[in-house]
Amino acid sequence: MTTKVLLVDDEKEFLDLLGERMTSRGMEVDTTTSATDALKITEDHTYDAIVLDLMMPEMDGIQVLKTLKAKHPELQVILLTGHGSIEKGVEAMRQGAMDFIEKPADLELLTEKIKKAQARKMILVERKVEQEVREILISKAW
Amino acid sequence: MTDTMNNAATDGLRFFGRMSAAISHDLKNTLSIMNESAGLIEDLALLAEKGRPLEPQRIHQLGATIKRQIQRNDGIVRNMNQFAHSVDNPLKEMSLASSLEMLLSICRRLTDARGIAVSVASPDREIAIVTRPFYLYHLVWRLLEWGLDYAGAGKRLVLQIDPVPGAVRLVCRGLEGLTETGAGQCPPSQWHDLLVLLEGRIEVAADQQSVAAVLPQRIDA
Repeated sequence: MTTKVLLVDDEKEFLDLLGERMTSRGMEVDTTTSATDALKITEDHTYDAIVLDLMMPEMDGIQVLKTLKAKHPELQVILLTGHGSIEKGVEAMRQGAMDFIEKPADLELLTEKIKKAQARKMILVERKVEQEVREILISKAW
Repeated sequence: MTDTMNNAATDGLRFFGRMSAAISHDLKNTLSIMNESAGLIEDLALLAEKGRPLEPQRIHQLGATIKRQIQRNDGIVRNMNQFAHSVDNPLKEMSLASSLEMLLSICRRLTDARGIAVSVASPDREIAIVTRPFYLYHLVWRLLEWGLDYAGAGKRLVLQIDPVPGAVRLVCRGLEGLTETGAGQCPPSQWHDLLVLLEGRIEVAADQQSVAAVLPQRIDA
């Protein structure tokens, strides 16, 4: 199954390069330089992982993360941070990020985290479906 | 004066740290692009070893990307160096337009994060003042940071250099959201020590949507 990833970063060249490398590794990649667009895109598309830059124009990465998680709790977000310290990363985890990775990112490490995100999302979706089926069975009580 | 200098130094360290963090972010971004460019060259080389033809044009493009990022990096480091040396001399003659451009370039990430575009407007002729460089940068940042809260829907601020007899006004224009109440709270108390050290004063005008720091042409040692 193809892994679907959304990359969000205000550096267009970075997005193009990383996107190309990830695509050549068999992933299906969408990109956007705008945090606002990222929120819109996730309304209509589903992703196994969202790789999100922590510091974006318009909206702070943590704010984007909070909004995404509030609307789609099953979304797996990996934050890219230019911070030298792990403080922001820890805060991001507390806000629901699956993981964080420091820039410049090692692609093999990022790919590993994306695979983990995909597996975790599958489990969450399966649980959600199970729960929905159980609720239907209980409410119908044939 | 010693207390004033101590307060300004403590507060100044915070400002220095904030600017340094912004610079490190910019450096991380250029490094990231170079990292991905190098990675893609490796990817293409591996594919070529497996028989896929290597496109020279692609390698040229990646080389150009790396060169562009090196130039960008060089500009960031040059600004960082100029900013770091602003603490060397208690008093120094400064060209205002280039100094403000340099500061704006350093803090661009912070102003962009608020979604606000900031530019410098200066007269055609060179305007220079003899002042305390580091404290001037700090005051300009204070002005700008305060202005960001009042940028309003226009989301555009202009730092204008306006020479007047014996002094220079650094005017932050475009404060569309500035109210009389907001204007009445300016300058905030944290600016006091900087204004003493720079022998300056603040003029705020809600009707003109502006705040100005009026600084002497020359501070005597």
